[in-house]
Amino acid sequence: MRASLAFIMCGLLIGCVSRQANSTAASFTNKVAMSGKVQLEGWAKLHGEFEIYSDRESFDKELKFPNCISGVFSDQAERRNLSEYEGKRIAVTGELFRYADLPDEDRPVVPRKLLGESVIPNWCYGSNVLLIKAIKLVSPK
Amino acid sequence: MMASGDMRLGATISCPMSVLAQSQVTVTAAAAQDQDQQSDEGTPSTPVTAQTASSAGSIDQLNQIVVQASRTGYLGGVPINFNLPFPQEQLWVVYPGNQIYYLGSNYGTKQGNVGANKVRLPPGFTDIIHTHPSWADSQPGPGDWGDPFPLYGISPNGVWLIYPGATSPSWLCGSPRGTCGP
Repeated sequence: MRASLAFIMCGLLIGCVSRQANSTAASFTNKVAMSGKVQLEGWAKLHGEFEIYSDRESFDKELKFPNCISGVFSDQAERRNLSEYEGKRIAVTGELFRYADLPDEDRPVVPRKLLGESVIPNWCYGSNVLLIKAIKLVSPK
Repeated sequence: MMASGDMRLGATISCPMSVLAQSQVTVTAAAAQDQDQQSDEGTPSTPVTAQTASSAGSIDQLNQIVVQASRTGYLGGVPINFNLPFPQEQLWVVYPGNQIYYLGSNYGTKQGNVGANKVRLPPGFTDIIHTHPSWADSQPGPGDWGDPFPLYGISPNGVWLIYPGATSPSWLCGSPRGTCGP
């Protein structure tokens, strides 16, 4: 009887955790599809640009937008050491921009979009990209 | 229907390496160093000579040249540098006869795209070759599509080519997580 109860409780707990992860991912994908200022939590990958993934699974599978959004910092050129965030859970605040609306470099041979004062490759292939204003590490829940 | 890219890829694979050694043409580079310098006018200033394909300049030979460059680490006599910092890339353009002009990497600290905004390119180039250094994805990014010229990408994992209008890259060697080998 006690074993059955424990089994049920364990199942419920796993279900809750799973639902929470799905909810977090859904929240992320909804947010990155919007416009303007945004706060996001996700998993960080450094790819020249800064990529933020909705959850660990998306990170591991390198899923594209909207499970991933490409970002650069508003002071990208001064950001020399971003490796401390690599593979970590992070929280960022920033502003979303439509990738297609971004300006190109002046007379490029290969078109490169500019966000802030940086090139943004947009490896996440998102319709939106993120200009990051602030970032911090988040402790695993 | 076979896309022109597929045809080109197939021909490249069957092309013997001896083709590369059979002839020599002059290749002019805008500069020959990673932190290359150009005048404000962007005039190509440092000619170098390198072995390439014949002056007939077939596209198959160009494929071979680019694949070979990824293996030797040199293109048009210029070292390929995968250690450039974000967002720098190296860029070459190709003129008829497979004359390869190196345009350099970028000239500022904030913008990338190999300083193309300062380069006054003579008209008539037919192909573009660029690198995806280690900071980048080995695969094409959104900015690599839609160019009116065939666009080559050289990464540590391989060499790909995008033809105008193509919807996927043709890998000439290597793969997104592979290598072209020695």
